Amino acid sequence: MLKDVVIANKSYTKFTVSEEDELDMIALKVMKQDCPDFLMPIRTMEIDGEMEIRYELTGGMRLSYMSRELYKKEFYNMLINMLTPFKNCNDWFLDYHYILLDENYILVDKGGQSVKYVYLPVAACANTDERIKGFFMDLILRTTVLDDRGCMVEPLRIINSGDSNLMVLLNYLLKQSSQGGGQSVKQDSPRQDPPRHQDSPRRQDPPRQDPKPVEEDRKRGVFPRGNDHVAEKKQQELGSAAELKPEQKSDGSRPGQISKEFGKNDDQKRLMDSLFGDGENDEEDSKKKHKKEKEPKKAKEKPEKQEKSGGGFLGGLFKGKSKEEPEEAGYFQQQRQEPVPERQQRQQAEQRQPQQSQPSYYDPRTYINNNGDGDTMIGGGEEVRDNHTLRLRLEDCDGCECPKMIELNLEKGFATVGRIGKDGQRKADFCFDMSVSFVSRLHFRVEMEEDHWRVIDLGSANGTFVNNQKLVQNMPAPVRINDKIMIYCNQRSMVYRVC
Amino acid sequence: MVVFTGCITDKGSYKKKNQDRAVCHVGGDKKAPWLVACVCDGIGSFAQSEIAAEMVTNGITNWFHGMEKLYPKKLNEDTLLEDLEMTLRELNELVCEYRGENAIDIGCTMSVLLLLGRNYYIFHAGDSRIYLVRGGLYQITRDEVCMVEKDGRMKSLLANYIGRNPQLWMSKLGDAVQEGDMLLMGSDGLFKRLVYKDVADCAGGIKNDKKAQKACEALLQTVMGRGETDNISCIMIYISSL
Repeated sequence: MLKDVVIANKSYTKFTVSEEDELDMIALKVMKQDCPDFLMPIRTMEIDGEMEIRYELTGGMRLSYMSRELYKKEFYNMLINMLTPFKNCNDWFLDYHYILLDENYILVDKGGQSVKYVYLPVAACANTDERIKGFFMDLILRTTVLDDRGCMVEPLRIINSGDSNLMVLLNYLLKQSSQGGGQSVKQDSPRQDPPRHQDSPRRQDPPRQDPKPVEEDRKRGVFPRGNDHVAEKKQQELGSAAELKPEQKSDGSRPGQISKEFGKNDDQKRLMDSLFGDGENDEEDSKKKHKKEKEPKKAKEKPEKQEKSGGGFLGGLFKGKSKEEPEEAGYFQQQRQEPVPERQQRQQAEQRQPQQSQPSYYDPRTYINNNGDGDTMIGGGEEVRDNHTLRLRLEDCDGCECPKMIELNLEKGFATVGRIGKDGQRKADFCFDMSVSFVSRLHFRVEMEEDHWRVIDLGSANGTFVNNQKLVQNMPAPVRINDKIMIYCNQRSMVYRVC
Repeated sequence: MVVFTGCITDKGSYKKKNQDRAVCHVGGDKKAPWLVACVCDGIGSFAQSEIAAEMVTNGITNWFHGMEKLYPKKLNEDTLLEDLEMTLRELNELVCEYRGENAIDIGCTMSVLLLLGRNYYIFHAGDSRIYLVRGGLYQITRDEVCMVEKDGRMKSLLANYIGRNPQLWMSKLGDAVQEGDMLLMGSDGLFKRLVYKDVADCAGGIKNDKKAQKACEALLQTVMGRGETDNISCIMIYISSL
């Protein structure tokens, strides 16, 4: 589905829209004209009647290359940064279901302060709510919190809990973060998290969430998708607008729900939906669910729609399940309790959509091997004998003092190379001395392959060169024995040879 | 070339803590010394700004210790300067990262002076100052402040500082010193109530580092005696001979 393209020293990821695909023109327009900062900007090309959407994977590092060992504060920040775009989608009339949840296509900036997603405005690419939940659960489970492992329990519990949504998780994380939940800051930091200054003139604190509102959120299943009470007021003011809502519900053309008219330019409806929400307040929702139980046959007819319903960050995934179900019933229990026919239908619906575990798009990790064209096949030479250890022998260095031999242990599959930060902290597995300022703190990553290695530049300031060719950021390049890896900046350089 | 230096920072008589930081390191041999000096003034309206000031000064110290081994054997003037600039940009990134990670407002001004032989180079952000004392008091750096009206009164706000933006804007200046010149660096607390006569009085008798240090202390006492309430930092670099 997605394919990475490297031409010379530039790269992009393309998505080809086939004729059968239903394209969301509004989303496309939004992304072209006013792309939110949490999405990767796009360019579109039409080639032989087929549309190609191009995403530039720059301005950050792929999430898959990010360290999985984080401190509590970093862990909370990462989750907050990753969840916030889902909440903000509605502000741009976009639907969070179409955010691509693949760690290879999620860019995290250097400081880990922002996250950029790929938005695929095609009906077939929509994620189900369960898959989004599963993605975040998987993300948490694969992360190791170095200073407080117990802090992962509550986020997991919130995701698993049937009657809560990701907004509850986001609120919880924000609360923890603002309360100094990660007080066990890195040991090398100058000092521990101090209390925040009230007179601070610049920072505009987000409204603090007391425990009560969080609980209320949990009960209501609320995500502030255009504040319900504000929407109600507006509806009262605009009577005609309120009349539109039942129609929207029947059509289901609001964000968060794939309608029959998906991709059609029904701007007015979309606008009204985004402004006033989907009209599913909690009472209506509970009634609906109650009704659903009474009429199981009806419900079975449209399992896919049920799953995605809820739309926005408000409902659906973030709304939880009906009140009649026991609170203890978590994510997996919920699956078990489903009636068999509905489950089968759901599985069929899932099969129609691209799977997270078996991505139909092109995995960049295998791209260069499978499609090693002249532009990207930089490496060459002898075959690798033991690829669990990558040995780099210093060939030349100018303006710095570098170790003569570096051994990178790749038993975990990869190793990162960088420099000790000016604050004394190490970000990479192997760190050069602090005085080698032209090497970034996290410079490149080496991955193990069957018969060779791959080097990936992690958005370093001065770039990484393999056999005198500059690597494109985030794009793996093969490296074999006798290949040269070089980092240089003006008059200073270091050259290592793989041996 | 003979250079005498003094460095002092004090919380002043009114403030509870010192948010200023000042460091001055001299390297090389006696014939060809080189030095780096830095004054940082934590932003008073951010309660924990001394963290930022300390991060920058510690970073400069670490940088100096790293470069001591390399300059001038492996690095020339250009590469040393380039390295310092990269270091300062990284320190700014680190302060910004700290702000983001800990959800806390911190920031500081920064004036860095690198003296390599006759040539001096300055990296500057904010309203700390560097003066050249050569028959008068000449301000080399420009205060990066903007004037705004508040309640009918004009107020100066800091327009640039470390930690403001991950991409740092720095003023870069450079020139050459002459024999008998003095470079005076300080936070705004020092220069608000300082006149040329104060500096001229203490500049005459500087014959070693101890005297330079005493001259710094004398300036500090002078300013405090005139009722300065802010934190005060002072670095004095006296070029005795070339």
